[in-house]
Amino acid sequence: MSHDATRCPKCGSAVPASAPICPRCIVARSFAHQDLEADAPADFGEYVIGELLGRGGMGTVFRARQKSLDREVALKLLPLELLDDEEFLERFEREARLMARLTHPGIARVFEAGISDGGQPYLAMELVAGEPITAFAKPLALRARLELFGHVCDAVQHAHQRGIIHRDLKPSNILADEQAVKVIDFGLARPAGDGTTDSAIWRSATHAVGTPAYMSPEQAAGAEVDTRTDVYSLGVLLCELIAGALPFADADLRTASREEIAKFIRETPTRRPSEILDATAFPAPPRVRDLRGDLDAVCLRAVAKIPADRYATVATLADDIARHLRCEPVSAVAPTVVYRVGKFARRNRGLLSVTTGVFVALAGASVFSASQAQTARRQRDAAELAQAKAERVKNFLAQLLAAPSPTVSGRDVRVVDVLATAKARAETDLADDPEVLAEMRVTLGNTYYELSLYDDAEPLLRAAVADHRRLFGNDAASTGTALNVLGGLCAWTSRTDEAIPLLAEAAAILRRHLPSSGHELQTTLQNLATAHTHAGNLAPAEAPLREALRVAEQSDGPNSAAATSIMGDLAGVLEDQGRIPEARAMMEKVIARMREIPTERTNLATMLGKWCDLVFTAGDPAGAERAMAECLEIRREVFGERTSPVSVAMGRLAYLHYRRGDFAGAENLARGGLEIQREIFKPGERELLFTLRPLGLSLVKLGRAAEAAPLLTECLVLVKQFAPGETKMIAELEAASGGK
Amino acid sequence: MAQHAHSPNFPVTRWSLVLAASGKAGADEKARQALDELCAQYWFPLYAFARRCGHDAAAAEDLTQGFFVLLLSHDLLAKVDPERGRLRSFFLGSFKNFISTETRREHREKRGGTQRAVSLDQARAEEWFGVEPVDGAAPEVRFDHDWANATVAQALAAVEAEAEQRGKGALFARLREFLAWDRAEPQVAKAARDLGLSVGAVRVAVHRLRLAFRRHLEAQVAQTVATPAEVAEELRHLVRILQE
Repeated sequence: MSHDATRCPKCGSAVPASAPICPRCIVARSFAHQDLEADAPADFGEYVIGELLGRGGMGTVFRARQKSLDREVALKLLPLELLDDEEFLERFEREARLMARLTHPGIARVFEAGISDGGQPYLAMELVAGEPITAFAKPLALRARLELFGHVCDAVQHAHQRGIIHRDLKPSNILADEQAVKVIDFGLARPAGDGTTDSAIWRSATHAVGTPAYMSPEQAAGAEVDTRTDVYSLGVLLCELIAGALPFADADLRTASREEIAKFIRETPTRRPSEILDATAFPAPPRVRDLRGDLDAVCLRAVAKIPADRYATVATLADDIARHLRCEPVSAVAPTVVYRVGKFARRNRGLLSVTTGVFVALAGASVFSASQAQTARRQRDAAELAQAKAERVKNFLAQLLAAPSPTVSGRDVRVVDVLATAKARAETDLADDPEVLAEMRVTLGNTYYELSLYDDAEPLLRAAVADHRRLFGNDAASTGTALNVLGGLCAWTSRTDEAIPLLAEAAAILRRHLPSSGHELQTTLQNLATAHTHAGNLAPAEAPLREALRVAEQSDGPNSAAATSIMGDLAGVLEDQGRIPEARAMMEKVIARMREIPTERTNLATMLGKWCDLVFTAGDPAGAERAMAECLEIRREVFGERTSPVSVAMGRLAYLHYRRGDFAGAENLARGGLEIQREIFKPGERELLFTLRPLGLSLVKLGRAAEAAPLLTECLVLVKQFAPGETKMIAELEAASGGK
Repeated sequence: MAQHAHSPNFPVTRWSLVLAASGKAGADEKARQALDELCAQYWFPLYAFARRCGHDAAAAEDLTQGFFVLLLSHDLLAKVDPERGRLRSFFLGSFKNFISTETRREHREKRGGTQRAVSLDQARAEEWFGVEPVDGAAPEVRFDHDWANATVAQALAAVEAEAEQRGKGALFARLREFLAWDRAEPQVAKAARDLGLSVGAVRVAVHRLRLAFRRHLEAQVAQTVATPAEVAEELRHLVRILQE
């Protein structure tokens, strides 16, 4: 019997001759990592693990010290189940390479990602101080919250431009302190959206987080996701920041199955921030009217159930927030004249002081009242009485102008202050004359409405409608006018169900008072069409627009600016319905007329751009080129040479040159446009697409493939980022890149 | 393994099959086959135990074979309490009894000492036994150790068979050694080069082998106990024995 037992080189124990490897070591290693998430090893290769920072479905995060660099990091140990996914590793390594190159002050750095000796996937990340953004934002007022949100959008957009989607944006992944706000845990180590192996994220969704409130419907359904899944999550966060509550009614989903959660996210109606405002979430709560309108619309667009209905990029979402902060129109809201005027007034509220603006504003208001007084006079055939009333309205306004004294208050008195005084005084001073009070309420309500102060406007307008019904009857033109203003406000604040019957009634009344009610009827019909469009019904929008067009042609003349602008809207509705030949005929007319109207230059350029697309698709490249050349000229004249609209038009025109084989001409134009863009844009802006594409493609044709290559690459990144659905464009660019 | 133990659907294991058939007249063919397989897998710990008790190679082989003959004829099984008992403790307890009875009577020829119940490679048995350490441990402790090693070997063979079935035999052969390694940076890098994989991919592959090994080890242990609760307990025992 030999006593020379084989000893294991590692543990030193005897290895039986029957065993190929030391059983002791195999068993030790195989069971060593069993409870790693619960019990981290103190020593982890290059890292010494310290206190537990957090635990979630997507892994466990520890404070750790990196020995070689003697620095503190956040070390995340990922769930071992992730390794069960055969494709996980490839994606993990690819994203780790991308992340390592991602440097943005708003994004926590990823220093290293890898698989430990023990087969444990891990990430070493920048250790970020701060608390979840929602907690940090608690003492902040609305404006500061919006600015904070803008920083988050910048960071997310930066990553998107580099091909990284976060996929799990939520307050606990966005940490803020007085110095910075940083998005942590970017993109890495998320299961693919194939829905087969993402048990970990579901675990996090149902246990660690409480509710999957930030998860987009497509992600919940296990479908493929793109950057718009982050747009959705940001929309939910925005709502939480500005309203203090989530856009979906609370539901306890902790024990819900994956299907139940997906169904909940897909089917639960979204609530408007203004409807769910929780005042207790703010030290100085915003008013409902601060949220109604723009912010409601921005939120709803960001959290649309269908990705195509959302902002295409985080940049456009951020842009709308910035616009809102500057009191400019936001893109989430389809522009109307009333809206733009309201925005203008709001933006210039400071300027509309007693000394200058108020006079203008109230002069407008008194004209409005005078026209109403006229209506009333005709209706009741009591000219003298009406004259007296109009006089009284005028006097009332005149007194108001003198009432607040800037010298006493020591500052400019704002329109809103004057209006507040007017409202209070009207109720007392005019109490003896209900007919004048009724008119005054419409005037004041409309002014509030135009200043986007919907909460102040609405009760006044509702009272005014009731007054008019009672005093002048349901058939009075002034009742129709009051209904139109109230209905317009409802449509504007997206309550289309309420708006449509109000506006339909207003139109019915005003039709009976033609021709004098022509202008009022025309705006009523336009409001009605807008309400239908907002409600998502294109077909019912057509009839009111056609009627409005007839009315405008009759009252203002067939070639009037009013009639032309209504036709432009009508052409858009027809095109959206796919009725191309009709849309084309109408657009042709609109363009011809707009050329004759000096005030319509900007609209003409926009219309020419649409026309260009339409005729190019219809197989008329020459017509398209002419339209784009004209569009370019107008934009130069309206906006100036070195501007974004001009650069885009140059790029589009260049592409048309390229398509007809004029590669040198295309190169010239595209290069000119790109030069402008390089001056005014940061890299990665969507507009660059328009110039990079024709320039790259033309250079390939001109045999300068080496010059073209970086441009085509840049362009492809942008297309995939901003227009991933444009498969033809992608194929065209890839063919050009490969075919050099 | 914990969730396994609580599963109401504990799979029919070889040992539970054997126990179910015990005490009944007429051996169930399935139970007989199951016992056959168990004997084939765990003969070495018994043989080594007999050797440690001072029997020479020939005597140890005869004792082991005689024990199996008795076992397979159901004479012994009838005495097993089906309510409790693991294969390991049953084997050791019964074998000790068997040896003492046989030795006292000294008429093992009558029991049919040359009968062969299970194919037992005498030459390999001695080769394996020859390198067993003489550490002064009690034969019972060494028996448990041998038993644990046999269980590990069975599990490893199952992992290999599975890998081959999935066309990953070569990968397994190259990476098998890493199952025992904790830190093996240069070796992992070399294996990655050999296999044309990234280091991360090798680590993941090793991780997967470990998971497979654990699964098979648990399955293997499960075959030798009668109830789900005993799986975890027996597995803990196995790990503890190996760490000693």
